[in-house]
Amino acid sequence: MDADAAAEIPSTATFEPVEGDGVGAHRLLAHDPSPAWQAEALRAARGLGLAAIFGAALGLREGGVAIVHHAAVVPAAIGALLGLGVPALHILLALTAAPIGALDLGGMCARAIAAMGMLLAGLSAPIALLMVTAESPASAAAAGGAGLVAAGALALRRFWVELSDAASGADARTRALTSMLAIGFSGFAVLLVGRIWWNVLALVGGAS
Amino acid sequence: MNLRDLVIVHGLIGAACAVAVYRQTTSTRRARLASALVTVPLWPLWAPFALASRERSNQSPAVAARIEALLRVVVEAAQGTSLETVLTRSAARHLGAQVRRVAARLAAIDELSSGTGTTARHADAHARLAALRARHADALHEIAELLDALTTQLGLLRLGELPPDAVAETIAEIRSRLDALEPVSGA
Amino acid sequence: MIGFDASLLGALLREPGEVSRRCVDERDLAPLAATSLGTIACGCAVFGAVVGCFRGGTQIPFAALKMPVARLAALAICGPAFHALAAVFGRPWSLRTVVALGLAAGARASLVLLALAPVLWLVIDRNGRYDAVKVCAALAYAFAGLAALWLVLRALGRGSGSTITAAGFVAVFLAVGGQTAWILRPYIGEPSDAVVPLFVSRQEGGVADALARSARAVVGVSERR
Repeated sequence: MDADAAAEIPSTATFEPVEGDGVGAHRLLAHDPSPAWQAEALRAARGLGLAAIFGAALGLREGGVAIVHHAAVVPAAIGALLGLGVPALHILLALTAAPIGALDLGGMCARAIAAMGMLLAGLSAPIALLMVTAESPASAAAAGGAGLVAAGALALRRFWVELSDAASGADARTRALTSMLAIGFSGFAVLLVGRIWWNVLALVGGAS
Repeated sequence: MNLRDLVIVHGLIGAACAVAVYRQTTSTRRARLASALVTVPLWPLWAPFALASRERSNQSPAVAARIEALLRVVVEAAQGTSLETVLTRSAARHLGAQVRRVAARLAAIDELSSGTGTTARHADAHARLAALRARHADALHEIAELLDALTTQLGLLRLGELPPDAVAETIAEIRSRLDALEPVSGA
Repeated sequence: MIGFDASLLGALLREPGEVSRRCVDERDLAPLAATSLGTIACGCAVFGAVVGCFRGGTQIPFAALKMPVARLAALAICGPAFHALAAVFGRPWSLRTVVALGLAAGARASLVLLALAPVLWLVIDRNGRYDAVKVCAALAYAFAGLAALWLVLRALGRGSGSTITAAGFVAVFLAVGGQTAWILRPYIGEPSDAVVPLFVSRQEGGVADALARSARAVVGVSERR
């Protein structure tokens, strides 16, 4: 039985990265004290690029064109949510007088996408193995789906927490409305992105 | 795609990593060969460590550039505070020159370390160079971290949330870290 | 020269907190990695050889070779996943730190397997049944896994996100480790096989299905094939 104390690694409730030697990961996920549209757009683009790696791993089961197809579809679904859901959310947040500007909302989205992309990219190697070696199509689909669901849940939770934190200084009515909007946006995200992935990814039986 | 294809791709990447490990690690030829052979099948588990010393040397110029950028930020942040007469542009230039000298010594150490040899004297020399390198590189990293903290402290000083003495302590710490390297760098 | 450092074995067993701090601080990781790799290779090889004793003959060296390969392959594949999980849940450690933690945890698990190998050998030597041997081996892996997890938990600490990060590590490693072990089967071979092949190419349903069949067989629930 060892007696030495646990190594304490501090962290925040929103999983804000603490200073570490993983400089790339830290930069990709950390709040920028002086945000700019270009930087946040680049962050989101990097997240989508990382998500494409996971898509390519999913496509290994069929190989060939399916690799490119899956690599395109996984980030495209997230992009569709950005284009269709986020502007609408911004308008509704403005109606509730939530103290969240367009750049703030853009930054939250970018960080959520970056986190999702980072997790998906990390899971690419395990998924590649499972896609290539799983004996049944159902097992392969379940593994790929589990990765997408886990990363999506992480992104939504991160977005939700940041949205709530941003509205924490407002009055109770605004906070309640912001929470309702966050729930609604999450539901919309699940339906939209899930539908695209379900219908278009060949791995889960969609069109190839 | 099947498992055999994955194994082939893994092997090809492993072979490339093995070449990098053999060329970039600094040790006896036998050790470099052993390290390279282990890298072929185990590159995801071994290459991050075998290539670590080279990666740290490549980061040194980046750290020096980061320090110089932070010095500019610190000078800007000090404007309008009680420390603007301490954190002047000329002081930042002087500190920057010290950092460049340390970075130049690191480059010289790396060049010396890239030589190969098989005798015990060579191994001893390599070990001493590695220790010297680590001391300089660690000091630069620490100075970068202190400058980062100093930027935040200046913001707090401007808001009245931090006394000037605390900020002055950090400045003194940075100066003493660089000065500690000066007798070696000035030799 | 980076080589095996026997003194680290004691630290792996008695001071997992110190080893985990060393990984997070990136202090002298190369000797730790080299020692861990050697320990995983030897510990898993010995345990594999014991498992192969059930059939004897060529199964002993086959299993001794396959077990460390399965373990190291799993660690290699899980490295990037662990790195991503740690980063997104608040610990942006470098890849070196994560790989070192994985190797150290794997080495700790291998030492536990080495300790339990004589127990499994005793079960086999006492003419233990096929499914009982399989479940005993699985239990040994479970104990080894808990020992490895303890080291990882020391590194994660008690901060926010540590539980979900650890759960993520476990889930990914179980999936990948199970699959790599499945690919390299058999280690014992089916009782009906007169000659145990080096690898099995027929479809058998997967890892979970095989474990469930064995567990049912041990508790006496018969199954029609």
